[in-house]
Amino acid sequence: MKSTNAIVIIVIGAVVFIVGVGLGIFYQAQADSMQVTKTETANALSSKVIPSIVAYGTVTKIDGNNITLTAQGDTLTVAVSPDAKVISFSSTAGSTAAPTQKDASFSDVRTGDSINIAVKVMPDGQIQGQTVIILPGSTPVQ
Amino acid sequence: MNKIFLAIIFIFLFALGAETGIIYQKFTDAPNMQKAGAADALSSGVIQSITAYGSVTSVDIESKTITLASDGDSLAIKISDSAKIYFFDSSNKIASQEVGLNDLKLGDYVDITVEITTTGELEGSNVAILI
Repeated sequence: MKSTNAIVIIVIGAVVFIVGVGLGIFYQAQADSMQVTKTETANALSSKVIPSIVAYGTVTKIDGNNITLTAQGDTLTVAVSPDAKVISFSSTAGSTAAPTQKDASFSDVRTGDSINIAVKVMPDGQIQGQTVIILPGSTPVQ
Repeated sequence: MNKIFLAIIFIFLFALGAETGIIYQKFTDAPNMQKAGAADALSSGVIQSITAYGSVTSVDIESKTITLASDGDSLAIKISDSAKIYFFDSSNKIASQEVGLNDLKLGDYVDITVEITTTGELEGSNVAILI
C-alpha cells in the first residue's frame, strides 16, 4: 500500500514538472514572439535585394575595428570589415571648390569625425561596415 | 503535515519545470535574438537610408505589396499608404512623373526606399521605377 502511494506521488510530481515545463516554454515563446518578426526583418535585410544600407553620424568611439556612431540621439556600433575601403573627403574652409577625395585607412578615422558607413547585414545578423567615407569638416587626413 | 510537505514539493517541482521550460525556450531562440538585434539596430536614427533594388516579380494591389528579385534572392515589401511612386525615364534624366501602384509592370526595375517600423517590419516609403 505504501509503495503504491509512493508511485502515485512520483507520477503526480512528474506530471506537475512536465506541466511546469510546458507553461515555461509557452510563456517564453509568447515573450519572444515580437523577436520573430524582427528576425524575419533581419533575414530580409541580408537579402541581395537590399544592396544599400547607409549609416551616418558622428564618431563617438573607436574600439578595435568597431566604430560607434551617434546621430539624432541614437547610437550604433558597427564592426568594420578588415577589407573595408576607407575614403576621405576634405575641403578648404570658405572655398567653393568641390571636396577633394583621397584614399584613407581605418586609422585615419577619429572621434568627432562625421562619417558615412555602407553596412551589410550578415547571415548571422551581425552588422558589418564595408565602406567608410570620412566627410568634409572632419579631421584632415595627412 | 505530510500533505503540506507534499504540496511544497509539488510547488517546487512546478517552479523547477517552469524555469526549465523558460531556459529551454531561450536557448532555442538564442540564434534568432542576434538577428532581431540587427533589426533593432537598423531602425536607429543613425541609419540614413535602406534601399531595395530588383526586378518586379509580383504586385499585389490589395495588400500594397511589391515582390522584387535580385541575384537569386526574392523579397516582398509592403508599401506604406503615404508612399510616393515615381517613374523615371532614362531618355530624359530630369523628367519624373508620379504614378500609381497599378502602373508597375512585371519585369520593371525599381528602387524602394525602405524603413523599419516600430513593430520591426519592413515598409517601403518611396518607389522609383527605373527604365
